[in-house]
Amino acid sequence: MTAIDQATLLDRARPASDVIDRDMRSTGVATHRLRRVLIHLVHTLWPVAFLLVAWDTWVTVKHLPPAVAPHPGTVLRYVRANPGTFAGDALDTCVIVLGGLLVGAVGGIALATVSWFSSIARAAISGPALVTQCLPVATMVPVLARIFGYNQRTVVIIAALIAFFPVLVFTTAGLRASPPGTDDLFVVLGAGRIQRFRHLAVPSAIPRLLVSLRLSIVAAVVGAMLAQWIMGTSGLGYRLVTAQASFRTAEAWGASLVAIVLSVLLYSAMAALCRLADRRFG
Amino acid sequence: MRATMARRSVAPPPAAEPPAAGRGVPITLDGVSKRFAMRRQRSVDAVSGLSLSVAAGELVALIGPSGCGKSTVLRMVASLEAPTEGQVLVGGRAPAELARSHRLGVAFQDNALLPWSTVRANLALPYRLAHRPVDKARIESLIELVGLGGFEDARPRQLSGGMRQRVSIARSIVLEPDVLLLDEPFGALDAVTRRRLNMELQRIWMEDPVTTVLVTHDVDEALLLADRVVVLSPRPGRVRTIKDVPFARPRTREVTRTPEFHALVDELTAELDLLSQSADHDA
Amino acid sequence: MRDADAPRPLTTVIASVVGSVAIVALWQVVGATEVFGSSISPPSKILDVFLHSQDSGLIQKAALVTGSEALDGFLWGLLLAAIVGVVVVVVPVLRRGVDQLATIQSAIPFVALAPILLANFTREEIPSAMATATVFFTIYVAMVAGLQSASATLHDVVAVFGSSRRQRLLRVQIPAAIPVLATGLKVAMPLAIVGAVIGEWFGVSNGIGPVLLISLRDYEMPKMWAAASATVVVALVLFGVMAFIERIATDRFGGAS
Ligand SMILES: Nc1ncnc2c1ncn2[C@@H]1O[C@H](COP(=O)(O)OP(=O)(O)OP(=O)(O)O)[C@@H](O)[C@H]1O
Ligand SMILES: [Mg+2]
Repeated sequence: MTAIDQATLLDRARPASDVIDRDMRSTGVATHRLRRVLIHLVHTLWPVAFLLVAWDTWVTVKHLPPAVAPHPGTVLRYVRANPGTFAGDALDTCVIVLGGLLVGAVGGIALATVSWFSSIARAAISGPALVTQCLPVATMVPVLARIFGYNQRTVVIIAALIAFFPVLVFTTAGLRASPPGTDDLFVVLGAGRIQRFRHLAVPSAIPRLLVSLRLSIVAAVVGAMLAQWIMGTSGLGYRLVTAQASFRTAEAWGASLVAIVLSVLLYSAMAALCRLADRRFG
Repeated sequence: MRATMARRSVAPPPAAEPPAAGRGVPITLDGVSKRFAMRRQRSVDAVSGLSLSVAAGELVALIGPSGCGKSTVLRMVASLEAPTEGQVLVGGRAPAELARSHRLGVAFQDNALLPWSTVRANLALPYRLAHRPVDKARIESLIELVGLGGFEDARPRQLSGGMRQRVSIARSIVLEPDVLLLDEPFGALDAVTRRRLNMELQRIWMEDPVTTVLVTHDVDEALLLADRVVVLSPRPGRVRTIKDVPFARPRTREVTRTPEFHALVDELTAELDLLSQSADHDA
Repeated sequence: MRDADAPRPLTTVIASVVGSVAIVALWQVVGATEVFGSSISPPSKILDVFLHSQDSGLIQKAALVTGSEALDGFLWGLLLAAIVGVVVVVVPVLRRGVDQLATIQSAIPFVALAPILLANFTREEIPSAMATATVFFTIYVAMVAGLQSASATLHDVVAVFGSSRRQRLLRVQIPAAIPVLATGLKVAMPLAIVGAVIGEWFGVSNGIGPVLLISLRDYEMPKMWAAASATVVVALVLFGVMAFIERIATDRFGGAS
């Protein structure tokens, strides 16, 4: 089923940062700490440098007018000249994303837990759950905007909802993914339901839950920005749409750039957290 | 006459195996060591200073405690690993050269068949990799030889474990290689199937006795099939004992029930037990 | 989900049906009584739009447009991801960098792509381009995982048989990649719909995206719900088709046992 497939796919395709970590460990204890940090920085930052150079070349080669596509330098200078506005927007979006992720993840975990304990509940949501696996939630933003009104709360709700589904689907699958036979073993050993949940289901669910959190944080950023963009409330999405509407290209690209950096940073932070958790519980 | 005859401690019984030497090329390992690099600049010596020669047309079984480097030796002969020290020669050439000219045959414990291909197509794979026209008649006769008539168009997943292993063996010999390398080909099978396939392998091999290295941890299997049994010491692997197997082929079930056979089994088993214990102490 | 839990007892089936019906019923009640306001249209009204209103044809046409944009972008995504996947597997030095770039690309919020896409494509091309951008990562990951899914022993065997790099790719790696890739395609399919709809919001006039925005502006709730449902239906249908293809691929190319 989709959830598991996707989880295994993502697990198999180790994020590049994991690969780097491993390679670095294998370079041995002799490597100086400072040098390792430097190597890490180079490894992490070269794609960024590559993208900036590619962007600059592309604008130059295609002779794109600044109103269509500014040079990276222009955009970076613009962002540096207006640090306050962008920082404020980024903070706004960031808070919404984290709030949405928290609400969505707690909701997803709670529902997955309920459906683990109650087979009736599990069966009851199995039909809808099947649909949610291919539900294009992001396209529902206009509907949700209408239902909950044009305000900050709605943006959080949308981010939460969009983060909720992966967590629900992956955690539900994970809770039931204990190695074959262990469940019977626990029953034979006289473990109660609560004990089986704590010592069997939860440990098996954690790896999948971590994968889903990595997916969900990106989804939450997508949802939040989309909501801000459509409803014009606040944050980076709002800045992007207003700047675009009034042809302030550098500002629009700046908002876009800040959003991308924010999203990548949030993802990396989540991936790092997941790695820590994986080492601790995995 | 085989070069190895001279070294035999027990004279072969009269009217023994046909004197016609088998096919294939000899293998020589000369002071071979293999060290695997590990994390944090540590390393494992899998094989150390191992020398062994296998005559053309001879079937040699490698046994030894688990982890003693049997597979590593076989992989070096198969060109899959390069020795850290020493030299491996197959027919006087580097193993990789033989692989490139499609003169090696292998089968592993894991059948490694193409899951999307039929039995027939799996047996055609070596031809295709060698850019040679597929010899349909040879494939059909091999399918008969390994007793899979009627399953030509089955996919591996429709076959039992034993049947897959037969396909794997058939694939290893389809091009009539100069050297056949088998790494616990029946390791994952139940005891009964294993006995049967041992007998079949003997029959198949006798049709075309080519130079063969068989890695196994089953003493009975080694004694049933091999001309010589080489016992490796615990890691790092080196040659501990070489035992000639004096029984004439075909070695029937009756032969395996003789006191002589049992005596050899007991002797080798005792030696393996001893080696395994000392390996445990090291660990 | 693991099907270790034997054949489903009847109660489970009943519970599943009851659960689905209950949700639709609840939706109907909430929508009809308007306890949460008039924004939630009940299923009956949505069905009404499809069966009786003149918007029905409009929505169907829009769904087709969006579906074909999504499919178009999806195929481009498949092509790109397959090429990049093969290159990365054949030239492993590139792997780490490309992985990193792909991860960054996947973390980019759709909306932030707007300026870049607008500078590169015509507005009509943007939905497909956006769909390509949304599906690329998933397909790429599946492709690379698939190309590496053949067992190490199989690689060893064909190496000993004296195969060339090209032969290994064509005879082992690519066939082995097919079922994994099919799974990736199935997972990516609904994403393509999302990408296409959002791409439409950057300013085209055809498709489900504009219908959604216009009915949002005009406060035509049943029409909006109908359009949203049409998106789900398109996603479900395409997902179903991909699931079917996946079944065939797994059957034909999947591993032994
Ligand atoms: N690729 C490798 N990298 C690191 N160490 C390896 C590698 N291959 C083998 N080794 C180590 O070399 C030693 C010998 O391994 P090998 O597989 O040859 O043993 P074996 O005799 O075939 O064991 P078994 O009977 O269990 O199959 C082991 O300690 C193993 O851990
Ligand atoms: Mg071995």
